[in-house]
Amino acid sequence: MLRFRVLLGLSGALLVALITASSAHGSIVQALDLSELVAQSDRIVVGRVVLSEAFQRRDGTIATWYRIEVERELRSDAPTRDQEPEVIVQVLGGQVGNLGMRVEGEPRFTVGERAVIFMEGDRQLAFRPVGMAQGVMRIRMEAGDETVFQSRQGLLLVRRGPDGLLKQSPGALPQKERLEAFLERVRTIVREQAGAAGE
Amino acid sequence: MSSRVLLALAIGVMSVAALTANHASAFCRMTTMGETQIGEQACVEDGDFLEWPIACLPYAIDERGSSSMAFDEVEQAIDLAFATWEDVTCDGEPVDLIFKPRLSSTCKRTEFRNPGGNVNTIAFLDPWEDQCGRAFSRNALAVTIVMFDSSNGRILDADMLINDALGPFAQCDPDLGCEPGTQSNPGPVDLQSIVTHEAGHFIGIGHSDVADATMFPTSPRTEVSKRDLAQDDIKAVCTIYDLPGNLDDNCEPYVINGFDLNCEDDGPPNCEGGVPVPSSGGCSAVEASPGKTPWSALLIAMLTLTVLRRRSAPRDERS
Repeated sequence: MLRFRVLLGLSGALLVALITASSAHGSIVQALDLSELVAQSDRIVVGRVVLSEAFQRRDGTIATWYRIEVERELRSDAPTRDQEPEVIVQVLGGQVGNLGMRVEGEPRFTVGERAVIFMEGDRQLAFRPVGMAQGVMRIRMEAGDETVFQSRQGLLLVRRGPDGLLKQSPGALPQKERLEAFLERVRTIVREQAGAAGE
Repeated sequence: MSSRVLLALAIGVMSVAALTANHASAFCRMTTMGETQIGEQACVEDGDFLEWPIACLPYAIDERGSSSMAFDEVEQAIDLAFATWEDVTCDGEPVDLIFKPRLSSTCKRTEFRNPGGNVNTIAFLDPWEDQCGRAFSRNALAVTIVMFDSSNGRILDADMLINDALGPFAQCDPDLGCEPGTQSNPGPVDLQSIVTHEAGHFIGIGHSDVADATMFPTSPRTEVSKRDLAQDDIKAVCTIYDLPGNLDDNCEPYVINGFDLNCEDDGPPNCEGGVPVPSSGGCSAVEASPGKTPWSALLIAMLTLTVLRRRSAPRDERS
């Protein structure tokens, strides 16, 4: 019994140590709450990353395209009949040969991972995540549930207060949330904003 | 196993865990692989650390400056921000990092030319878009773009872009801070604080969870304390540029292919191409040529040339 308690204590200590580990912040970006994320999005999808391709622009900078297989469409800039099963998301940075480019705050994806992505842009070109990494909510399985986390890669999130001062902000999704509950919140906001626009 | 042994083991593990947490909660370094951070996960440092091979670093401010500050005020704020990192001492010796402010650039964009000269430019953009009209995230106040050799983490070029549309910016009073404003008429942002933070990325520092660190994300508009480095920031720069006293004020500024302060002298940017075709089973792009350029050979040749061409240079070209 004593051994069990000590082991329990050890686990607790490790857990505390891990919880106190850091978060990442880099580029200084205005935080968006969920309504603002939705409002700034031309398209919102749940999708899986199936391919990535980095390329070098003629100015020497690098960008990366991610091909996203759309599983669910939450907001689209096209009629349902014209919606495509895949979408291209472009982010700054990447690697081409031995040349790399980093922009703190831009999201990166791993092929195979799933995410809810808030995108802006033109379907004729690539879309871009809204608010840099803020616009990417990654999906993970936790205890059998699909859960979403807001990615804050390299982001310093701030908001302008009523007095005009910048204050640190937790962003649109401070805590992880079950995927379905989150999607329902997004759908509700999409409907509300569509209704407001139609009035 | 006795309870005392187990207790000692528990204390030992707790100590190790605490030490590990302490490390993880301090600064992180930028790496070649980047990171896929989830929630409050600790920094991930996969790949090689990003680091300038010779930390004698020139930078130049775009001559058009900011719409909200006089150019000499911009220069002063930026020079002070870089000097804050340069003035660090590591165990009593000056850090192995020297910045060389150059004459102003004509380079309102990020660019890396190979072949061709380069400049580490600092530019204010309004509209907040690149030279081809591709918008940056409208919510970003400032971004630092770092080019590197992914085979070893050596930084080749760094540019800092500041969103002039989200100003105004100012050199605020170090004691009183910036003047507060209102929602409709916001007060200024302290430029020196912003650039001090971004300069950390310029030299390869990622972020920190230490609350008083410059690389920690608290930046109230009136706050100017981020101009001053905390012990964690000092530890970061001393860790990366860890040969104190190795450089002197006559060091040769490190730049790939030599200086070119005017990155706009080759005419309008070529913005053609870059249209992906999502339904064709793969991406196609006029601009894309991944993996076809022998970058490593070119980089080695350039680095060799740079070392051979090292000459004495004044500490500050402007002075």
